[in-house]
Amino acid sequence: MTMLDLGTPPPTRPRERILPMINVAFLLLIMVVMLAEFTAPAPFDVIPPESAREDRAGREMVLFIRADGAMNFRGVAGEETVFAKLAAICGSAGCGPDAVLSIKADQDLSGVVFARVLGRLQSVGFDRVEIVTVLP
Amino acid sequence: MSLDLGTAPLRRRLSLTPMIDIVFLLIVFFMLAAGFSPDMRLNVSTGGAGVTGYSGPPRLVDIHADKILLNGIETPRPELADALSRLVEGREDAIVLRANAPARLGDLTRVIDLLTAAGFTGLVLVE
Repeated sequence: MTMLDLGTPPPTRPRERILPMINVAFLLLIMVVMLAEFTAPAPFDVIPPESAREDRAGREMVLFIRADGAMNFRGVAGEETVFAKLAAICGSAGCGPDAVLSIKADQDLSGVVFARVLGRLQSVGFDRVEIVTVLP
Repeated sequence: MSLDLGTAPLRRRLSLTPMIDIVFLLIVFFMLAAGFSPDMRLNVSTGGAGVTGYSGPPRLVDIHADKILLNGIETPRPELADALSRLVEGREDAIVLRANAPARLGDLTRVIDLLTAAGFTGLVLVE
Protein backbone atom coordinates (compact mmCIF):
# COMPACT_ATOMS: atom_id res chain seq x y z
CA MET A 1 0.00 0.00 0.00
CA THR A 2 1.41 3.33 -1.03
CA MET A 3 1.22 6.38 1.14
CA LEU A 4 -1.00 9.19 -0.13
CA ASP A 5 0.99 12.39 -0.37
CA LEU A 6 -1.18 15.26 0.71
CA GLY A 7 1.63 17.72 0.30
CA THR A 8 2.54 20.29 2.84
CA PRO A 9 -0.32 21.70 4.86
CA PRO A 10 -1.35 25.20 3.67
CA PRO A 11 -0.04 28.02 5.76
CA THR A 12 -2.52 29.19 8.36
CA ARG A 13 -3.78 32.74 7.89
CA PRO A 14 -3.34 34.70 11.04
CA ARG A 15 -5.94 37.39 10.12
CA GLU A 16 -9.62 36.79 9.52
CA ARG A 17 -10.88 37.68 6.04
CA ILE A 18 -12.42 41.04 6.82
CA LEU A 19 -12.41 42.61 3.38
CA PRO A 20 -15.64 40.95 2.06
CA MET A 21 -17.44 42.20 5.12
CA ILE A 22 -16.42 45.75 4.32
CA ASN A 23 -17.63 45.27 0.78
CA VAL A 24 -21.03 44.15 2.01
CA ALA A 25 -21.20 47.01 4.48
CA PHE A 26 -20.42 49.54 1.75
CA LEU A 27 -23.02 48.00 -0.54
CA LEU A 28 -25.59 48.31 2.25
CA LEU A 29 -24.58 51.90 2.81
CA ILE A 30 -24.95 52.76 -0.87
CA MET A 31 -28.32 50.99 -1.04
CA VAL A 32 -29.67 52.87 1.97
CA VAL A 33 -28.48 56.21 0.65
CA MET A 34 -30.01 55.60 -2.78
CA LEU A 35 -33.36 54.25 -1.62
CA ALA A 36 -34.01 56.68 1.16
CA GLU A 37 -35.48 60.12 1.06
CA PHE A 38 -34.06 62.79 3.26
CA THR A 39 -36.44 65.49 4.33
CA ALA A 40 -36.55 67.93 7.16
CA PRO A 41 -38.30 66.38 10.13
CA ALA A 42 -41.99 67.20 10.51
CA PRO A 43 -42.73 69.82 13.16
CA PHE A 44 -45.27 67.46 14.72
CA ASP A 45 -46.64 63.98 14.19
CA VAL A 46 -49.07 63.84 11.30
CA ILE A 47 -50.75 60.68 9.99
CA PRO A 48 -51.66 61.47 6.37
CA PRO A 49 -54.72 59.86 4.81
CA GLU A 50 -54.28 56.75 2.74
CA SER A 51 -54.67 56.61 -1.00
CA ALA A 52 -53.71 54.18 -3.73
CA ARG A 53 -52.40 57.00 -5.96
CA GLU A 54 -48.75 56.69 -6.88
CA ASP A 55 -47.87 60.24 -7.89
CA ARG A 56 -45.00 61.55 -5.82
CA ALA A 57 -45.79 64.63 -3.77
CA GLY A 58 -43.67 67.75 -4.01
CA ARG A 59 -41.34 68.60 -1.16
CA GLU A 60 -40.53 72.25 -1.67
CA MET A 61 -43.57 73.85 -0.06
CA VAL A 62 -45.21 71.70 2.57
CA LEU A 63 -47.90 73.00 4.89
CA PHE A 64 -48.38 70.79 7.93
CA ILE A 65 -51.78 70.68 9.63
CA ARG A 66 -52.32 68.70 12.81
CA ALA A 67 -55.59 66.93 13.64
CA ASP A 68 -56.60 69.84 15.91
CA GLY A 69 -55.98 72.38 13.12
CA ALA A 70 -52.58 73.68 14.26
CA MET A 71 -50.44 74.70 11.30
CA ASN A 72 -46.77 74.89 10.49
CA PHE A 73 -45.09 76.07 7.32
CA ARG A 74 -41.30 76.16 7.04
CA GLY A 75 -40.91 76.39 10.77
CA VAL A 76 -43.51 79.11 11.20
CA ALA A 77 -46.41 78.19 13.46
CA GLY A 78 -49.83 79.73 13.92
CA GLU A 79 -52.49 80.24 11.27
CA GLU A 80 -52.13 84.01 10.85
CA THR A 81 -48.33 84.00 10.57
CA VAL A 82 -48.46 81.01 8.22
CA PHE A 83 -50.88 82.76 5.89
CA ALA A 84 -48.85 85.96 6.05
CA LYS A 85 -45.78 83.99 4.97
CA LEU A 86 -47.72 82.22 2.19
CA ALA A 87 -49.10 85.52 0.95
CA ALA A 88 -45.56 86.94 0.92
CA ILE A 89 -44.42 84.01 -1.23
CA CYS A 90 -47.21 84.48 -3.73
CA GLY A 91 -47.01 88.24 -3.90
CA SER A 92 -49.85 90.42 -5.04
CA ALA A 93 -50.17 88.82 -8.48
CA GLY A 94 -51.02 85.37 -7.12
CA CYS A 95 -48.95 82.26 -7.50
CA GLY A 96 -50.47 80.96 -10.71
CA PRO A 97 -51.00 77.34 -11.66
CA ASP A 98 -47.34 76.39 -11.44
CA ALA A 99 -46.95 76.94 -7.73
CA VAL A 100 -48.30 73.89 -6.01
CA LEU A 101 -48.54 73.78 -2.26
CA SER A 102 -48.39 70.35 -0.64
CA ILE A 103 -50.64 70.00 2.38
CA LYS A 104 -49.62 67.31 4.81
CA ALA A 105 -52.63 67.14 7.06
CA ASP A 106 -53.73 64.56 9.58
CA GLN A 107 -56.42 62.16 8.43
CA ASP A 108 -58.50 63.04 11.49
CA LEU A 109 -58.57 66.76 10.66
CA SER A 110 -62.12 68.03 10.27
CA GLY A 111 -63.13 68.25 6.62
CA VAL A 112 -64.82 71.60 7.23
CA VAL A 113 -61.63 73.06 8.72
CA PHE A 114 -59.67 71.72 5.75
CA ALA A 115 -62.08 73.29 3.27
CA ARG A 116 -61.81 76.60 5.13
CA VAL A 117 -58.00 76.42 4.89
CA LEU A 118 -58.29 75.80 1.14
CA GLY A 119 -60.55 78.83 0.86
CA ARG A 120 -57.97 80.99 2.61
CA LEU A 121 -55.21 79.54 0.41
CA GLN A 122 -57.17 80.57 -2.64
CA SER A 123 -57.51 84.07 -1.28
CA VAL A 124 -53.71 84.36 -0.89
CA GLY A 125 -53.16 83.15 -4.44
CA PHE A 126 -52.89 79.36 -4.55
CA ASP A 127 -55.13 77.85 -7.24
CA ARG A 128 -54.10 74.25 -6.88
CA VAL A 129 -52.90 72.28 -3.91
CA GLU A 130 -51.96 68.68 -3.43
CA ILE A 131 -53.04 66.62 -0.46
CA VAL A 132 -50.20 64.46 0.77
CA THR A 133 -51.24 60.85 1.16
CA VAL A 134 -49.47 57.59 1.91
CA LEU A 135 -49.89 54.22 0.30
CA PRO A 136 -52.05 51.86 2.35
CA MET B 1 27.93 62.62 19.60
CA SER B 2 25.27 60.41 18.22
CA LEU B 3 21.58 60.62 18.86
CA ASP B 4 20.03 57.38 19.93
CA LEU B 5 16.66 57.03 18.31
CA GLY B 6 16.06 53.62 19.81
CA THR B 7 15.13 50.58 17.85
CA ALA B 8 12.95 51.09 14.78
CA PRO B 9 9.28 50.37 15.56
CA LEU B 10 7.78 47.25 14.07
CA ARG B 11 5.64 47.89 10.97
CA ARG B 12 2.05 47.14 11.94
CA ARG B 13 -0.59 46.23 9.40
CA LEU B 14 -3.42 48.69 9.09
CA SER B 15 -6.34 47.60 11.23
CA LEU B 16 -9.64 47.58 9.36
CA THR B 17 -11.88 47.22 12.38
CA PRO B 18 -12.31 50.96 13.10
CA MET B 19 -13.24 51.49 9.46
CA ILE B 20 -15.97 48.87 9.70
CA ASP B 21 -17.16 50.51 12.89
CA ILE B 22 -17.52 53.81 11.09
CA VAL B 23 -19.27 52.25 8.10
CA PHE B 24 -21.77 50.48 10.31
CA LEU B 25 -22.37 53.69 12.25
CA LEU B 26 -23.04 55.45 8.94
CA ILE B 27 -25.51 52.72 7.93
CA VAL B 28 -27.35 52.98 11.24
CA PHE B 29 -27.43 56.78 10.99
CA PHE B 30 -28.81 56.79 7.45
CA MET B 31 -31.41 54.15 8.22
CA LEU B 32 -32.65 56.16 11.19
CA ALA B 33 -32.56 59.53 9.43
CA ALA B 34 -34.12 58.42 6.16
CA GLY B 35 -37.73 57.85 5.30
CA PHE B 36 -38.51 54.86 3.15
CA SER B 37 -42.20 55.50 2.54
CA PRO B 38 -42.47 58.33 -0.01
CA ASP B 39 -45.34 60.78 0.15
CA MET B 40 -47.96 60.54 -2.60
CA ARG B 41 -50.40 63.22 -3.64
CA LEU B 42 -53.98 63.93 -4.62
CA ASN B 43 -54.57 67.09 -6.64
CA VAL B 44 -57.42 69.37 -5.73
CA SER B 45 -58.33 72.89 -6.71
CA THR B 46 -59.01 75.62 -4.19
CA GLY B 47 -61.78 77.11 -6.33
CA GLY B 48 -59.66 79.80 -7.95
CA ALA B 49 -58.87 79.80 -11.64
CA GLY B 50 -60.01 76.23 -12.15
CA VAL B 51 -63.75 76.91 -11.93
CA THR B 52 -64.14 79.97 -14.13
CA GLY B 53 -65.39 77.84 -16.99
CA TYR B 54 -68.10 75.97 -15.13
CA SER B 55 -70.75 74.70 -17.50
CA GLY B 56 -73.40 72.03 -17.59
CA PRO B 57 -75.67 70.68 -14.86
CA PRO B 58 -74.79 71.12 -11.17
CA ARG B 59 -72.30 68.63 -9.85
CA LEU B 60 -72.21 69.03 -6.09
CA VAL B 61 -70.89 66.14 -4.04
CA ASP B 62 -71.73 66.46 -0.33
CA ILE B 63 -69.38 64.36 1.73
CA HIS B 64 -70.65 63.17 5.10
CA ALA B 65 -68.85 60.79 7.41
CA ASP B 66 -71.19 57.92 6.53
CA LYS B 67 -72.75 58.83 3.20
CA ILE B 68 -72.25 60.78 -0.02
CA LEU B 69 -74.91 63.01 -1.56
CA LEU B 70 -74.72 63.87 -5.25
CA ASN B 71 -76.84 66.99 -5.84
CA GLY B 72 -78.71 66.17 -2.64
CA ILE B 73 -79.44 62.55 -3.50
CA GLU B 74 -77.71 59.84 -1.53
CA THR B 75 -75.45 57.89 -3.86
CA PRO B 76 -73.63 54.68 -2.99
CA ARG B 77 -69.87 55.02 -3.22
CA PRO B 78 -69.37 52.52 -6.11
CA GLU B 79 -71.97 54.32 -8.23
CA LEU B 80 -70.66 57.84 -7.70
CA ALA B 81 -68.21 57.90 -10.62
CA ASP B 82 -70.81 56.51 -13.03
CA ALA B 83 -73.44 58.98 -11.88
CA LEU B 84 -71.01 61.88 -12.27
CA SER B 85 -69.84 60.85 -15.71
CA ARG B 86 -73.43 61.30 -16.89
CA LEU B 87 -73.31 64.92 -15.67
CA VAL B 88 -70.03 66.03 -17.26
CA GLU B 89 -69.02 66.76 -20.83
CA GLY B 90 -65.34 66.02 -20.28
CA ARG B 91 -63.27 64.54 -17.46
CA GLU B 92 -61.67 67.92 -16.77
CA ASP B 93 -65.01 69.55 -15.94
CA ALA B 94 -65.29 71.04 -12.47
CA ILE B 95 -66.87 68.90 -9.77
CA VAL B 96 -67.64 70.67 -6.53
CA LEU B 97 -66.94 68.77 -3.31
CA ARG B 98 -68.29 69.99 0.00
CA ALA B 99 -67.33 68.63 3.39
CA ASN B 100 -70.03 68.38 6.05
CA ALA B 101 -69.40 68.69 9.75
CA PRO B 102 -68.54 65.24 11.06
CA ALA B 103 -66.58 64.25 7.95
CA ARG B 104 -62.83 64.09 8.44
CA LEU B 105 -60.05 64.60 5.92
CA GLY B 106 -59.79 60.82 5.54
CA ASP B 107 -63.41 60.68 4.33
CA LEU B 108 -62.70 63.50 1.87
CA THR B 109 -59.60 61.87 0.43
CA ARG B 110 -61.45 58.57 -0.06
CA VAL B 111 -63.91 60.36 -2.36
CA ILE B 112 -61.16 62.40 -4.06
CA ASP B 113 -59.19 59.18 -4.55
CA LEU B 114 -62.23 57.48 -6.06
CA LEU B 115 -62.92 60.34 -8.47
CA THR B 116 -59.24 60.77 -9.39
CA ALA B 117 -59.06 57.07 -10.18
CA ALA B 118 -62.12 57.52 -12.43
CA GLY B 119 -60.21 60.20 -14.34
CA PHE B 120 -61.87 63.38 -13.08
CA THR B 121 -59.33 66.19 -12.79
CA GLY B 122 -61.42 69.25 -12.00
CA LEU B 123 -62.09 68.56 -8.35
CA VAL B 124 -62.83 71.70 -6.35
CA LEU B 125 -63.18 71.62 -2.59
CA VAL B 126 -65.37 74.33 -1.10
CA GLU B 127 -66.66 75.17 2.34
